[in-house]
Amino acid sequence: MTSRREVLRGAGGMITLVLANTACTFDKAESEEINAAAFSDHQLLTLTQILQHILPHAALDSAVYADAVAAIARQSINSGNKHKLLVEGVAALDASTIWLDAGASAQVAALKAAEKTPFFLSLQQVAIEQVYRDDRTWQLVGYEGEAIKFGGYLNRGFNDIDWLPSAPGQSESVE
Amino acid sequence: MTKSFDLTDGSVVVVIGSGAGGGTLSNELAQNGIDVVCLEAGPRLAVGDFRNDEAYMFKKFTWLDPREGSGDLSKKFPAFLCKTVGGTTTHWTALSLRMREHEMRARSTYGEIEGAALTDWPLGYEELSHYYAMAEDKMGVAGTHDMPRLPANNHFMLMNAGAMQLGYPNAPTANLAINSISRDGRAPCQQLGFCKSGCLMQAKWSTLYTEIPKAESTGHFELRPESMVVNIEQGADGRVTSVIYEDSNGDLVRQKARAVAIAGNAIETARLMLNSKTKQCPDGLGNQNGLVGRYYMRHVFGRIAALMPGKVNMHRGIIQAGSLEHEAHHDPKRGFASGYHIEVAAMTPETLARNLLAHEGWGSRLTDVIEQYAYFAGAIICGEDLPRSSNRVTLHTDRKDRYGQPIAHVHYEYDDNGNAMHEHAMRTTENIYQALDAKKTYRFPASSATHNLGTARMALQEADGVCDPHGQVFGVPNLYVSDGSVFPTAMTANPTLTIVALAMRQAVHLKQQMSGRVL
Repeated sequence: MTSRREVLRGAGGMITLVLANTACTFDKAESEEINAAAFSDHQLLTLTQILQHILPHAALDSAVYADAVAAIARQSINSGNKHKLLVEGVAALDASTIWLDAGASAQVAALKAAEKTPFFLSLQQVAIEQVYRDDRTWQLVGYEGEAIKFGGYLNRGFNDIDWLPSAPGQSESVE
Repeated sequence: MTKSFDLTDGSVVVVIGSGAGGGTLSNELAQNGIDVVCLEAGPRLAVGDFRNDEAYMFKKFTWLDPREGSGDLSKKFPAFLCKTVGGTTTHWTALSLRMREHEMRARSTYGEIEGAALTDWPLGYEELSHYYAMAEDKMGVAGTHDMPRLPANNHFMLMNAGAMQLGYPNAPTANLAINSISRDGRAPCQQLGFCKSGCLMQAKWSTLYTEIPKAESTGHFELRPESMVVNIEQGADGRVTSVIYEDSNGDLVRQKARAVAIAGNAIETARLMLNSKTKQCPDGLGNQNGLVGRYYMRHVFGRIAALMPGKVNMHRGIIQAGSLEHEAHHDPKRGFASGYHIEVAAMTPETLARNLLAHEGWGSRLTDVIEQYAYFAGAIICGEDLPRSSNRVTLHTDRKDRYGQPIAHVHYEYDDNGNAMHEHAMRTTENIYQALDAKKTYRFPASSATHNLGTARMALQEADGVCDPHGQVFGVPNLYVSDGSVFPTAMTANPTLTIVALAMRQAVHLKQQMSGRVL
């Protein structure tokens, strides 16, 4: 999954995150900040894989996770603490062997062991924020998002529930 | 014809806050030819700035300046209020319920309860009912006056059907300040489901597009957004003379005033009074008995989610379409005083996921459940909590906000009565969903308080409260409190309708005081 995503560093310090369906380009000032906050490709790929374990929606485009990590990385630009937490968290996972190279069950087991760490707890919260504010996820889970574009649910299923029992005492009167 | 008043014009009434209390009071005064300057800490959004996006609008509306909580509150985000023109009426879910007569006589009805500073309201039920009727008419409350009830959505039909399986009677949709028909120049509800994100149809009453523009059209009203009041000044005769605020340019300016009304929502109102230390009131305005900030109430709250056997699509339509009041009465045999409502409350996938995490953990157990979002129902329980002296707003000893003022510290602990009520209410709600074969129900913790009450309570005598029954601060003849701070007890109902009714009553009083030259 992660192979669909690459981090390209072009001339002049421009960074382009190329994702499956999207590309976010940063301007020079931003890219300098990102350089200062420096995430390696390995760190970004590891974070993306962790998000896929935290919130594994099989039918979800993996770009959702990569976009989430790009957003999380950007948010950490102005917070040394957030950046440090992410970088050190990845380093801790890689302490004995490279976590990303392990099999899925070994990866999950390592995350399980780390689930009480500030790194994991924090990543879990921002992962939820990113993944469940993404309209691709909304589509998957059945949340229809912006309603003004079709004028609301008044004529579009706000009262279409059809499986409720009739009130007690009413069903008998039919027979 | 918006008016602008001079900073040195001491003939104006200064209203602090533009929400349910401040927005209403401002318009009621302006309609009667009284000049008003309304200072609102937040920016003025246009309806076009609203988006059907809860997370986006949360950031737009919310009062995110720091506060600190303790006891049973979140440390970082103890309460959820709005910092925007219209205040919490931009975000509220429009439930407009009256206080019950027995709740108004809380001390007489519930008796002595250890640790609870119960009292009866210092005004009569008939008088308040008169203003309730006026407030409902102003706001266009569906189910009252000429306003038909709104239709039930899936989410409320489900809750009502579950309750009926348990033997409760059929319940109508709630009294909601949402247009079911075109009224007051505003469109009827199209069931968008984004009540909390600013109503794009303007079907929901908010002072932002009702009271504020109406006040402006009188020529007696000036709204100053992004104006954060930091201090109220008092003269030697005990009357307040002016307010100091940081204006939209970041400059500190002084507006002179004939009278001042504070409507900043109970936490900010108490904070401003405590921060306004004067020669006569060295512990803060109106705080001669140390009562400002005490008796903070936020309702007994809890949330339930239920995974149902069929689709619900809870996000479709009005967020709080209905409120079950079957357990709202006072029946001490249940093991607690007063009662509660069970209100449908739709959640977004994000809110659901955040709360499910504690139940399902991360990984496929969590995502398997969230993928059934369309099958979920959600409810909140909202009951009367009891006033306690130790639940209070104080000034933080070290931390200051960006205006240089000490931030609010809010301490709140649940009591036995609240805990017993909470358990009964959660159990009842679970039973309702289980009666319809819920696959699983989940209890979620109360969210940060939106019903903030009681920090400047009304009383007949100065020894017992901060304000008199018209909201006039004892010892400060021209200072008024005009929001939920004045509630001596919390009642079961959501507070906005009562805040509006009291503001309308206060406006009549202020007008009388002014024409009688008392003010």
